[in-house]
Amino acid sequence: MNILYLDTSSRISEIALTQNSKILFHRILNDSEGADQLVHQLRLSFSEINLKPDEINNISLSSGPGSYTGLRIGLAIAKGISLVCRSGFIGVPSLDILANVYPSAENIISLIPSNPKKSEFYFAKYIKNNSVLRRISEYASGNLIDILKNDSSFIIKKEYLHHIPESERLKFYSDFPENDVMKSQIELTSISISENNFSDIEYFRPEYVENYVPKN
Amino acid sequence: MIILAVETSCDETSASVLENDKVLSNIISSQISHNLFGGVVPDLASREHLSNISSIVNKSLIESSKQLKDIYVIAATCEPGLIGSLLIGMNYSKALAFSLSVPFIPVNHIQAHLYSNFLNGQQADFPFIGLIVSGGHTLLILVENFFRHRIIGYTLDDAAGEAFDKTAKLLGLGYPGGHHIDRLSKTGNSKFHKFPLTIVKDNKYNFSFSGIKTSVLYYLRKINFENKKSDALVSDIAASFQEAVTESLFYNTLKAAEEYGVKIISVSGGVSANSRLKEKFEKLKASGYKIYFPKPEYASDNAAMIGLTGYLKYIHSKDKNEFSSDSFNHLAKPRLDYENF
Repeated sequence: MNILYLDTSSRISEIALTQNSKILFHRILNDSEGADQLVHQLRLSFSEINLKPDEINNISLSSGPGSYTGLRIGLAIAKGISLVCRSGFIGVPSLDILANVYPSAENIISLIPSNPKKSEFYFAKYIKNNSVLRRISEYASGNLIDILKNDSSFIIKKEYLHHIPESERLKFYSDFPENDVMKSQIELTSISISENNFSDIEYFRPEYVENYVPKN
Repeated sequence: MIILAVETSCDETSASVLENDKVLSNIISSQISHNLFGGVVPDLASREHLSNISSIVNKSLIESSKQLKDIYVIAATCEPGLIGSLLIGMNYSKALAFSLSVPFIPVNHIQAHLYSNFLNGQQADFPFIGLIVSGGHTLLILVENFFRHRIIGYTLDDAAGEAFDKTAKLLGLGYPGGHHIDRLSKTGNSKFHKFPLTIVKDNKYNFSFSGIKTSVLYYLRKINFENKKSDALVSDIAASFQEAVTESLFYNTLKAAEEYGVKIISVSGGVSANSRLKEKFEKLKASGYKIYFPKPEYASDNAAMIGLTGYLKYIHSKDKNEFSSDSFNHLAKPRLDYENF
């Protein structure tokens, strides 16, 4: 089974392909290769492994929250491929992907900037037991000081670490290689597929900001 | 050659299937949600394109009786337009082309308007003066042949369609405004009030419409419009405004045609559907001019014109391999590159 993975939720996009759980390629696009050059990178990667694009069985997308433009580009590409390949689709929340990188059993807060100039972040709280990730809070957004007030450890993509004040960085779990974020997406996608947890791509929406505003 | 084309540069999601220059289907979905805001909301436009795009492409395939396996090339608008909207259509189309292993042809939306009069076997004669009038652009272009053209005039401020929309708003009419103003002008007196034509000193072919729009605003204040408002008054002001804008478009275009010694004029873009503008140009036929106007379905933004331009680009290209390699690296551009058009 060939699964294509797309992460366009942040400034640095990632693409990967697994064939029967083996990673055939994983590419981290640099700053100058924006999400709108992602199809070009896919072409090069597929050409290198000599696989036809129409052999994609499933597509996994990091579904946000994050860069609106990036998320839309990712979903547009997934929709285009899906129309041809009739592939299954799995949307994986980006906060879950990030939290799943964390190896230990402690509580962890996953953070993605929403309006970093105002110290506003998307977040969710998690616990991991026996390698099983469990979300223990709603997906929400809030001020960084409030989010971190209980001295929890947090995880954030390294490209966003500069948005975190020096005083709070001690709580940052930084000991993970860049590749681990994609590995985490692959792992969570595998769980979704085993649970037959597919989404209908036609009706799928990226995680937009209104999903994170508390409903009173 | 079967072409699948996608257009998402502003607030129309459109897909079309063509066999060479013949349109087999042309599905256009206009996003009505912007009407509430009196103009296009870019973020909303991007969301709606993303939601609608696959169903629009599917409809265009069904209506054309073609299947994805029949598609030879895919063309999509890549510039100019709302960047968020362009990115949806362009990346979706690139992904389709990648999955089908067919060439991808990036298309300039303005060039597509320019060639929209040559769909379905309509012969193109050169050279001609192209007037492109839409909500986003007002351009005069000297066209010597396919893809040999030069912008000789453009608007310094509002596009003509934008001026129609803004004036319609001042008059309490709906969005988009061009249709309402054209409809009301039919019963209004175009000589009711003379709104000034702006003469641009630096380039005699350039346009300016913000002055006309502002003079409508001042005039409405002067006559205490809100208290005197009546159907007849709205129609008279609409007709007078329309006369000023269409006269400006007609005057500059004719001047360019005369000075470049060209007897063919092609008008395209959403505002080309304006009946008064068409009436003015049609009269030139008596003086030996050949006048092109698009059919209504090809006047506003549509994917059929993108497909035709993609087809023309492909058949006129000396290196067709570029559409199977470099074109996938093509970036969306929000602004028109006037120098390298």
